[in-house]
Amino acid sequence: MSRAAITRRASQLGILGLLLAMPILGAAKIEFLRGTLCSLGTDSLYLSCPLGVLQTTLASRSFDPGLWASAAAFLLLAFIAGRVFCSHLCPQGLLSELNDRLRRIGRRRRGGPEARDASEAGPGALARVAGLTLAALERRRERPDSPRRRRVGQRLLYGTLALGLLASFAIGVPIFCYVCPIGILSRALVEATTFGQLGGELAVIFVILIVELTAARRGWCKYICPVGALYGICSTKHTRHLERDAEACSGCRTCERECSMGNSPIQEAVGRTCTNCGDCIETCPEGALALVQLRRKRQ
Amino acid sequence: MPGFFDRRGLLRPPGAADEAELLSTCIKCARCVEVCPFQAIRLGPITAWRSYGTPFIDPIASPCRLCMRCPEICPTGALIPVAAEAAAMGTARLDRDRCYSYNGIVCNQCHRECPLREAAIVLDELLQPVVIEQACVGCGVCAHVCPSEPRSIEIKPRGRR
Repeated sequence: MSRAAITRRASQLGILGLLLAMPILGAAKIEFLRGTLCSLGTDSLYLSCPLGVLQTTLASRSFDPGLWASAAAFLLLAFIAGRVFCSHLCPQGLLSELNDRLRRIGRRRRGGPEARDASEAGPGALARVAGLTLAALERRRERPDSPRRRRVGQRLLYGTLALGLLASFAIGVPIFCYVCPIGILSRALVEATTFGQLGGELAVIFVILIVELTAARRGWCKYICPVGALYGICSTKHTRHLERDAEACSGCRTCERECSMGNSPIQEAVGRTCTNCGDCIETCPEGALALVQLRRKRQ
Repeated sequence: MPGFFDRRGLLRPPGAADEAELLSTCIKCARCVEVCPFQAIRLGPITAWRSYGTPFIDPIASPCRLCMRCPEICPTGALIPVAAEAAAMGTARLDRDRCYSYNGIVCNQCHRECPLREAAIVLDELLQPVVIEQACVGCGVCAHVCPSEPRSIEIKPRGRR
Protein backbone atom coordinates (compact mmCIF):
# COMPACT_ATOMS: atom_id res chain seq x y z
CA MET A 1 0.00 0.00 0.00
CA SER A 2 1.14 3.48 -0.75
CA ARG A 3 1.49 6.14 1.87
CA ALA A 4 -1.72 7.83 0.74
CA ALA A 5 -3.66 4.57 1.08
CA ILE A 6 -2.25 3.93 4.55
CA THR A 7 -3.10 7.48 5.62
CA ARG A 8 -6.62 7.01 4.37
CA ARG A 9 -7.23 3.74 6.23
CA ALA A 10 -5.61 5.17 9.34
CA SER A 11 -7.91 8.18 9.14
CA GLN A 12 -11.03 6.01 8.68
CA LEU A 13 -10.11 3.69 11.55
CA GLY A 14 -8.87 6.60 13.67
CA ILE A 15 -12.33 8.20 13.57
CA LEU A 16 -13.93 4.92 14.67
CA GLY A 17 -11.36 4.65 17.48
CA LEU A 18 -12.02 8.23 18.51
CA LEU A 19 -15.79 7.68 18.65
CA LEU A 20 -15.25 4.56 20.76
CA ALA A 21 -12.67 6.21 23.02
CA MET A 22 -14.58 9.39 23.84
CA PRO A 23 -17.27 7.85 26.07
CA ILE A 24 -14.67 5.62 27.77
CA LEU A 25 -12.39 8.58 28.50
CA GLY A 26 -15.44 10.54 29.59
CA ALA A 27 -16.42 7.81 32.06
CA ALA A 28 -12.85 7.95 33.43
CA LYS A 29 -13.39 11.71 33.94
CA ILE A 30 -10.82 12.59 31.30
CA GLU A 31 -12.00 15.66 29.45
CA PHE A 32 -11.42 15.29 25.75
CA LEU A 33 -13.33 15.84 22.57
CA ARG A 34 -17.01 15.07 22.73
CA GLY A 35 -19.63 14.19 20.18
CA THR A 36 -20.09 12.24 17.00
CA LEU A 37 -19.54 13.04 13.34
CA CYS A 38 -22.74 15.09 13.57
CA SER A 39 -20.96 17.50 15.90
CA LEU A 40 -17.53 16.96 17.35
CA GLY A 41 -15.21 18.99 19.54
CA THR A 42 -14.75 20.63 22.90
CA ASP A 43 -17.37 22.67 24.76
CA SER A 44 -16.68 25.83 22.82
CA LEU A 45 -14.80 24.72 19.72
CA TYR A 46 -16.48 22.14 17.53
CA LEU A 47 -17.22 21.01 14.02
CA SER A 48 -20.75 20.22 12.91
CA CYS A 49 -22.24 18.34 10.01
CA PRO A 50 -23.17 20.98 7.42
CA LEU A 51 -26.22 19.02 6.27
CA GLY A 52 -27.48 18.75 9.86
CA VAL A 53 -26.94 22.47 10.30
CA LEU A 54 -28.64 23.29 6.99
CA GLN A 55 -31.61 21.10 7.92
CA THR A 56 -32.08 22.56 11.40
CA THR A 57 -31.78 26.03 9.95
CA LEU A 58 -34.64 25.21 7.57
CA ALA A 59 -36.64 23.20 10.11
CA SER A 60 -36.48 25.78 12.90
CA ARG A 61 -36.49 28.69 10.45
CA SER A 62 -33.81 30.45 12.41
CA PHE A 63 -30.21 31.28 11.55
CA ASP A 64 -27.53 30.58 14.14
CA PRO A 65 -24.19 32.13 13.06
CA GLY A 66 -22.19 30.18 15.67
CA LEU A 67 -23.64 26.92 14.44
CA TRP A 68 -22.85 27.78 10.84
CA ALA A 69 -19.30 28.69 11.83
CA SER A 70 -18.96 25.16 13.24
CA ALA A 71 -20.17 23.73 9.93
CA ALA A 72 -17.82 25.92 7.86
CA ALA A 73 -14.77 23.72 8.45
CA PHE A 74 -16.29 20.68 6.73
CA LEU A 75 -17.57 22.84 3.86
CA LEU A 76 -14.16 24.47 3.46
CA LEU A 77 -12.53 21.04 3.46
CA ALA A 78 -14.89 19.95 0.67
CA PHE A 79 -14.15 23.14 -1.25
CA ILE A 80 -10.39 22.62 -1.05
CA ALA A 81 -9.97 18.86 -1.07
CA GLY A 82 -13.23 17.55 -2.57
CA ARG A 83 -15.36 14.79 -1.08
CA VAL A 84 -12.56 13.58 1.20
CA PHE A 85 -15.06 13.34 4.06
CA CYS A 86 -16.54 10.36 2.21
CA SER A 87 -13.21 8.63 1.62
CA HIS A 88 -11.33 9.53 4.81
CA LEU A 89 -13.83 10.07 7.62
CA CYS A 90 -17.24 8.58 6.88
CA PRO A 91 -17.79 5.33 8.84
CA GLN A 92 -20.47 4.24 6.37
CA GLY A 93 -17.96 4.84 3.59
CA LEU A 94 -15.51 2.50 5.31
CA LEU A 95 -18.15 -0.22 5.73
CA SER A 96 -19.24 0.30 2.15
CA GLU A 97 -15.68 -0.09 0.90
CA LEU A 98 -15.01 -3.19 2.97
CA ASN A 99 -18.32 -4.55 1.71
CA ASP A 100 -17.06 -3.95 -1.80
CA ARG A 101 -13.82 -5.79 -0.96
CA LEU A 102 -15.94 -8.71 0.28
CA ARG A 103 -17.44 -8.93 -3.18
CA ARG A 104 -13.97 -8.92 -4.63
CA ILE A 105 -12.88 -11.85 -2.45
CA GLY A 106 -15.90 -13.75 -3.74
CA ARG A 107 -14.75 -13.05 -7.26
CA ARG A 108 -11.27 -14.39 -6.59
CA ARG A 109 -12.71 -17.64 -5.20
CA ARG A 110 -14.73 -18.19 -8.32
CA GLY A 111 -11.75 -17.66 -10.53
CA GLY A 112 -12.72 -14.14 -11.31
CA PRO A 113 -13.48 -12.39 -14.56
CA GLU A 114 -9.81 -12.55 -15.48
CA ALA A 115 -9.89 -16.35 -15.53
CA ARG A 116 -13.40 -16.94 -16.67
CA ASP A 117 -12.82 -20.34 -18.20
CA ALA A 118 -15.89 -22.50 -17.57
CA SER A 119 -13.74 -25.35 -16.26
CA GLU A 120 -12.69 -23.18 -13.33
CA ALA A 121 -16.23 -22.47 -12.25
CA GLY A 122 -16.60 -25.78 -10.42
CA PRO A 123 -17.13 -29.48 -11.00
CA GLY A 124 -20.89 -29.86 -11.51
CA ALA A 125 -22.78 -28.32 -14.43
CA LEU A 126 -25.03 -26.38 -12.04
CA ALA A 127 -22.07 -24.94 -10.21
CA ARG A 128 -20.54 -24.07 -13.55
CA VAL A 129 -23.64 -22.16 -14.63
CA ALA A 130 -23.87 -20.43 -11.26
CA GLY A 131 -20.21 -19.54 -11.38
CA LEU A 132 -20.52 -18.13 -14.87
CA THR A 133 -23.61 -16.12 -13.96
CA LEU A 134 -21.90 -14.63 -10.94
CA ALA A 135 -18.80 -13.90 -12.95
CA ALA A 136 -20.95 -12.19 -15.58
CA LEU A 137 -22.69 -10.14 -12.91
CA GLU A 138 -19.31 -9.23 -11.51
CA ARG A 139 -18.07 -8.05 -14.86
CA ARG A 140 -21.18 -6.01 -15.40
CA ARG A 141 -20.83 -4.46 -12.01
CA GLU A 142 -17.21 -3.59 -12.49
CA ARG A 143 -17.98 -1.47 -15.49
CA PRO A 144 -18.11 2.23 -14.81
CA ASP A 145 -21.54 3.82 -14.85
CA SER A 146 -22.82 4.50 -18.36
CA PRO A 147 -23.47 8.17 -19.21
CA ARG A 148 -27.20 7.53 -18.83
CA ARG A 149 -26.80 5.82 -15.48
CA ARG A 150 -24.53 8.63 -14.37
CA ARG A 151 -27.11 11.21 -15.38
CA VAL A 152 -29.98 9.40 -13.65
CA GLY A 153 -27.75 8.81 -10.63
CA GLN A 154 -26.93 12.48 -10.32
CA ARG A 155 -30.60 13.41 -10.60
CA LEU A 156 -31.45 10.92 -7.88
CA LEU A 157 -28.62 12.16 -5.67
CA TYR A 158 -29.45 15.85 -5.87
CA GLY A 159 -33.19 15.11 -5.98
CA THR A 160 -32.90 13.31 -2.65
CA LEU A 161 -30.99 16.25 -1.20
CA ALA A 162 -33.51 18.78 -2.45
CA LEU A 163 -36.47 16.70 -1.31
CA GLY A 164 -34.88 16.18 2.11
CA LEU A 165 -34.29 19.89 2.59
CA LEU A 166 -37.79 20.73 1.39
CA ALA A 167 -39.28 18.13 3.75
CA SER A 168 -37.20 19.45 6.66
CA PHE A 169 -38.58 22.91 6.04
CA ALA A 170 -42.15 21.68 5.62
CA ILE A 171 -42.31 19.22 8.52
CA GLY A 172 -40.06 21.16 10.87
CA VAL A 173 -37.62 18.37 11.74
CA PRO A 174 -34.20 17.59 10.24
CA ILE A 175 -35.66 14.66 8.35
CA PHE A 176 -32.48 13.11 6.98
CA CYS A 177 -30.91 12.84 10.45
CA TYR A 178 -33.49 10.13 11.22
CA VAL A 179 -32.03 7.73 8.64
CA CYS A 180 -28.47 9.03 8.22
CA PRO A 181 -26.13 6.02 8.43
CA ILE A 182 -23.25 8.28 9.50
CA GLY A 183 -25.27 9.42 12.52
CA ILE A 184 -26.61 5.95 13.19
CA LEU A 185 -23.13 4.42 13.21
CA SER A 186 -21.63 7.26 15.27
CA ARG A 187 -24.39 7.05 17.85
CA ALA A 188 -24.21 3.25 17.92
CA LEU A 189 -20.53 3.50 18.90
CA VAL A 190 -21.30 6.03 21.64
CA GLU A 191 -24.32 4.15 22.96
CA ALA A 192 -22.54 0.79 22.83
CA THR A 193 -19.66 2.05 24.95
CA THR A 194 -21.86 4.10 27.29
CA PHE A 195 -24.80 1.78 27.87
CA GLY A 196 -23.66 -1.51 26.32
CA GLN A 197 -26.62 -1.75 23.98
CA LEU A 198 -27.38 -1.34 20.31
CA GLY A 199 -30.57 -0.06 18.74
CA GLY A 200 -32.77 -1.43 15.97
CA GLU A 201 -31.84 1.46 13.67
CA LEU A 202 -28.68 -0.46 12.72
CA ALA A 203 -30.98 -2.39 10.36
CA VAL A 204 -30.65 0.61 8.02
CA ILE A 205 -26.91 -0.08 7.76
CA PHE A 206 -27.46 -3.76 6.96
CA VAL A 207 -30.05 -3.00 4.31
CA ILE A 208 -27.67 -0.52 2.65
CA LEU A 209 -24.80 -3.00 2.72
CA ILE A 210 -26.88 -5.85 1.32
CA VAL A 211 -28.22 -3.69 -1.52
CA GLU A 212 -24.73 -2.43 -2.27
CA LEU A 213 -23.40 -5.98 -2.32
CA THR A 214 -26.07 -7.38 -4.59
CA ALA A 215 -27.70 -4.65 -6.65
CA ALA A 216 -25.85 -1.35 -6.87
CA ARG A 217 -22.17 -1.09 -6.13
CA ARG A 218 -21.74 1.69 -3.52
CA GLY A 219 -25.33 2.60 -4.37
CA TRP A 220 -26.02 4.62 -1.22
CA CYS A 221 -22.89 6.76 -1.58
CA LYS A 222 -23.34 7.21 -5.31
CA TYR A 223 -27.06 7.74 -5.73
CA ILE A 224 -28.62 8.68 -2.38
CA CYS A 225 -26.41 10.10 0.37
CA PRO A 226 -27.31 13.81 0.79
CA VAL A 227 -24.21 14.43 2.94
CA GLY A 228 -21.99 13.35 0.06
CA ALA A 229 -24.19 15.28 -2.35
CA LEU A 230 -23.72 18.46 -0.34
CA TYR A 231 -19.95 17.98 -0.32
CA GLY A 232 -20.12 17.27 -4.06
CA ILE A 233 -21.82 20.62 -4.65
CA CYS A 234 -18.95 22.35 -2.86
CA SER A 235 -16.40 21.33 -5.46
CA THR A 236 -15.44 23.88 -8.07
CA LYS A 237 -12.72 23.99 -10.67
CA HIS A 238 -10.29 25.00 -7.92
CA THR A 239 -11.04 21.89 -5.89
CA ARG A 240 -8.52 19.06 -5.70
CA HIS A 241 -9.44 16.57 -8.37
CA LEU A 242 -8.21 13.62 -10.39
CA GLU A 243 -6.26 14.14 -13.60
CA ARG A 244 -4.94 11.69 -16.14
CA ASP A 245 -1.70 12.04 -18.01
CA ALA A 246 -2.89 10.99 -21.48
CA GLU A 247 0.63 10.33 -22.72
CA ALA A 248 1.54 7.98 -19.90
CA CYS A 249 -1.80 6.15 -19.95
CA SER A 250 -1.68 2.80 -21.73
CA GLY A 251 -5.45 2.43 -21.85
CA CYS A 252 -5.58 -0.74 -19.76
CA ARG A 253 -8.79 0.32 -17.93
CA THR A 254 -7.60 -0.98 -14.57
CA CYS A 255 -8.69 2.31 -12.99
CA GLU A 256 -12.26 1.83 -14.25
CA ARG A 257 -12.54 -1.54 -12.57
CA GLU A 258 -10.99 -0.24 -9.37
CA CYS A 259 -13.31 2.73 -8.93
CA SER A 260 -16.14 1.62 -6.66
CA MET A 261 -17.98 4.88 -7.29
CA GLY A 262 -18.53 4.12 -10.97
CA ASN A 263 -16.22 6.75 -12.38
CA SER A 264 -13.99 6.22 -15.37
CA PRO A 265 -10.72 8.14 -15.15
CA ILE A 266 -9.68 6.77 -18.52
CA GLN A 267 -12.69 8.23 -20.32
CA GLU A 268 -12.15 11.49 -18.46
CA ALA A 269 -15.57 10.78 -16.96
CA VAL A 270 -14.96 11.57 -13.32
CA GLY A 271 -17.99 13.25 -11.86
CA ARG A 272 -18.93 14.68 -8.52
CA THR A 273 -19.21 11.17 -7.12
CA CYS A 274 -15.39 11.01 -7.03
CA THR A 275 -14.31 11.08 -3.38
CA ASN A 276 -10.62 11.63 -4.11
CA CYS A 277 -9.91 8.31 -2.43
CA GLY A 278 -6.92 7.65 -4.69
CA ASP A 279 -7.62 3.95 -5.26
CA CYS A 280 -7.30 4.39 -9.03
CA ILE A 281 -3.99 6.24 -8.63
CA GLU A 282 -2.71 3.36 -6.54
CA THR A 283 -3.79 0.73 -9.01
CA CYS A 284 -2.61 2.43 -12.22
CA PRO A 285 0.36 0.45 -13.57
CA GLU A 286 1.64 3.44 -15.54
CA GLY A 287 1.35 6.01 -12.80
CA ALA A 288 -0.70 8.14 -15.16
CA LEU A 289 -3.20 9.40 -12.59
CA ALA A 290 -2.76 12.06 -9.95
CA LEU A 291 -4.76 14.34 -7.72
CA VAL A 292 -4.08 17.94 -8.54
CA GLN A 293 -5.25 21.14 -6.91
CA LEU A 294 -5.32 23.42 -9.92
CA ARG A 295 -6.45 22.46 -13.39
CA ARG A 296 -3.56 21.84 -15.70
CA LYS A 297 -3.38 23.94 -18.81
CA ARG A 298 -4.33 21.90 -21.82
CA GLN A 299 -2.51 22.36 -25.09
CA MET B 1 -39.65 2.90 27.22
CA PRO B 2 -41.01 5.91 25.40
CA GLY B 3 -43.31 5.20 22.53
CA PHE B 4 -45.39 6.88 19.91
CA PHE B 5 -48.52 6.36 21.94
CA ASP B 6 -47.02 7.59 25.18
CA ARG B 7 -49.11 10.72 25.52
CA ARG B 8 -47.11 12.05 28.44
CA GLY B 9 -44.11 12.63 26.22
CA LEU B 10 -40.49 12.27 27.21
CA LEU B 11 -38.70 13.81 30.14
CA ARG B 12 -36.28 16.08 28.33
CA PRO B 13 -32.86 17.13 29.68
CA PRO B 14 -32.63 20.43 31.60
CA GLY B 15 -32.90 23.58 29.52
CA ALA B 16 -34.59 21.80 26.62
CA ALA B 17 -36.33 24.09 24.17
CA ASP B 18 -40.05 23.47 23.83
CA GLU B 19 -40.92 20.19 22.14
CA ALA B 20 -41.40 21.47 18.58
CA GLU B 21 -38.26 23.61 18.79
CA LEU B 22 -36.25 20.70 20.19
CA LEU B 23 -37.40 18.36 17.43
CA SER B 24 -36.56 20.92 14.76
CA THR B 25 -33.08 21.73 16.07
CA CYS B 26 -31.73 18.48 17.52
CA ILE B 27 -29.29 16.86 15.06
CA LYS B 28 -28.95 13.75 17.24
CA CYS B 29 -25.22 14.28 17.73
CA ALA B 30 -25.19 12.65 21.19
CA ARG B 31 -22.88 15.26 22.71
CA CYS B 32 -25.27 15.59 25.66
CA VAL B 33 -25.17 11.81 26.17
CA GLU B 34 -21.40 11.88 26.29
CA VAL B 35 -21.07 14.88 28.57
CA CYS B 36 -23.56 13.64 31.20
CA PRO B 37 -21.47 12.46 34.18
CA PHE B 38 -24.34 10.25 35.39
CA GLN B 39 -25.26 8.52 32.13
CA ALA B 40 -28.72 9.94 32.70
CA ILE B 41 -29.31 11.12 29.15
CA ARG B 42 -30.32 8.50 26.62
CA LEU B 43 -31.39 8.83 23.02
CA GLY B 44 -34.89 7.92 21.94
CA PRO B 45 -35.09 4.42 20.42
CA ILE B 46 -36.75 3.87 17.05
CA THR B 47 -40.04 3.13 18.82
CA ALA B 48 -40.07 6.78 19.90
CA TRP B 49 -40.74 7.77 16.27
CA ARG B 50 -40.35 11.52 15.98
CA SER B 51 -38.26 11.54 19.11
CA TYR B 52 -35.86 8.91 17.75
CA GLY B 53 -32.29 9.90 18.54
CA THR B 54 -33.32 12.89 20.64
CA PRO B 55 -32.29 13.07 24.31
CA PHE B 56 -34.49 12.02 27.21
CA ILE B 57 -34.03 11.01 30.81
CA ASP B 58 -35.43 7.95 32.54
CA PRO B 59 -35.31 9.14 36.16
CA ILE B 60 -35.90 5.67 37.57
CA ALA B 61 -32.70 4.42 35.91
CA SER B 62 -30.65 7.57 36.43
CA PRO B 63 -32.14 10.96 37.25
CA CYS B 64 -30.79 14.39 36.34
CA ARG B 65 -28.57 15.90 39.05
CA LEU B 66 -28.90 19.37 37.54
CA CYS B 67 -25.17 19.75 36.89
CA MET B 68 -26.23 21.67 33.76
CA ARG B 69 -23.37 20.45 31.58
CA CYS B 70 -25.57 19.24 28.71
CA PRO B 71 -27.10 22.58 27.67
CA GLU B 72 -23.58 24.03 27.61
CA ILE B 73 -22.39 21.49 25.05
CA CYS B 74 -25.45 21.38 22.76
CA PRO B 75 -24.34 22.86 19.43
CA THR B 76 -27.74 23.63 17.96
CA GLY B 77 -29.68 25.25 20.79
CA ALA B 78 -31.98 22.28 21.29
CA LEU B 79 -30.83 22.53 24.91
CA ILE B 80 -30.42 26.10 26.10
CA PRO B 81 -28.11 27.02 29.00
CA VAL B 82 -30.20 28.05 32.01
CA ALA B 83 -29.80 28.11 35.80
CA ALA B 84 -30.61 24.81 37.53
CA GLU B 85 -33.69 26.40 39.13
CA ALA B 86 -35.04 27.19 35.65
CA ALA B 87 -34.41 23.74 34.13
CA ALA B 88 -38.19 23.21 33.64
CA MET B 89 -38.09 19.52 32.75
CA GLY B 90 -41.33 18.55 34.40
CA THR B 91 -42.99 18.33 37.78
CA ALA B 92 -42.93 15.73 40.55
CA ARG B 93 -46.30 14.29 41.57
CA LEU B 94 -46.60 12.79 45.03
CA ASP B 95 -49.16 10.07 45.73
CA ARG B 96 -50.05 10.44 49.40
CA ASP B 97 -51.81 7.08 49.54
CA ARG B 98 -48.56 5.28 48.80
CA CYS B 99 -46.02 7.61 50.45
CA TYR B 100 -44.53 6.11 53.62
CA SER B 101 -44.36 9.47 55.37
CA TYR B 102 -48.12 9.94 54.96
CA ASN B 103 -48.75 6.41 56.23
CA GLY B 104 -47.01 6.28 59.56
CA ILE B 105 -43.42 5.58 58.56
CA VAL B 106 -40.93 8.47 58.60
CA CYS B 107 -39.03 8.28 55.31
CA ASN B 108 -38.52 11.63 53.60
CA GLN B 109 -35.87 10.25 51.23
CA CYS B 110 -37.21 12.55 48.52
CA HIS B 111 -36.78 15.62 50.67
CA ARG B 112 -33.27 14.62 51.72
CA GLU B 113 -32.04 13.98 48.18
CA CYS B 114 -33.81 16.78 46.29
CA PRO B 115 -31.22 19.07 44.63
CA LEU B 116 -33.60 21.99 45.27
CA ARG B 117 -34.44 20.96 48.84
CA GLU B 118 -36.52 23.46 50.80
CA ALA B 119 -37.59 25.02 47.52
CA ALA B 120 -39.06 22.18 45.46
CA ILE B 121 -39.78 19.77 48.29
CA VAL B 122 -40.50 20.98 51.83
CA LEU B 123 -41.64 19.17 54.97
CA ASP B 124 -44.90 20.25 56.55
CA GLU B 125 -45.47 20.48 60.31
CA LEU B 126 -46.08 16.70 60.46
CA LEU B 127 -42.71 16.12 58.66
CA GLN B 128 -44.49 14.93 55.52
CA PRO B 129 -43.01 15.90 52.13
CA VAL B 130 -44.85 18.42 50.00
CA VAL B 131 -43.91 19.22 46.40
CA ILE B 132 -43.91 22.91 45.56
CA GLU B 133 -44.89 22.74 41.91
CA GLN B 134 -43.74 26.26 41.05
CA ALA B 135 -40.17 25.46 42.17
CA CYS B 136 -39.90 21.79 41.14
CA VAL B 137 -38.00 21.37 37.85
CA GLY B 138 -38.68 17.65 37.48
CA CYS B 139 -35.11 16.37 37.72
CA GLY B 140 -36.44 13.05 39.01
CA VAL B 141 -34.04 12.44 41.90
CA CYS B 142 -37.03 12.03 44.25
CA ALA B 143 -38.59 9.40 42.00
CA HIS B 144 -35.23 7.65 41.77
CA VAL B 145 -34.75 7.37 45.54
CA CYS B 146 -38.37 6.71 46.55
CA PRO B 147 -38.33 3.37 48.38
CA SER B 148 -42.05 2.56 48.23
CA GLU B 149 -43.29 -0.09 45.86
CA PRO B 150 -44.79 1.06 43.57
CA ARG B 151 -43.10 4.44 43.79
CA SER B 152 -45.18 7.12 45.39
CA ILE B 153 -43.56 9.98 43.48
CA GLU B 154 -43.36 10.24 39.73
CA ILE B 155 -42.37 12.89 37.23
CA LYS B 156 -44.82 14.40 34.81
CA PRO B 157 -42.81 15.73 31.86
CA ARG B 158 -43.54 19.33 31.02
CA GLY B 159 -45.55 20.21 27.96
CA ARG B 160 -47.91 17.46 26.87
CA ARG B 161 -50.15 15.80 29.43
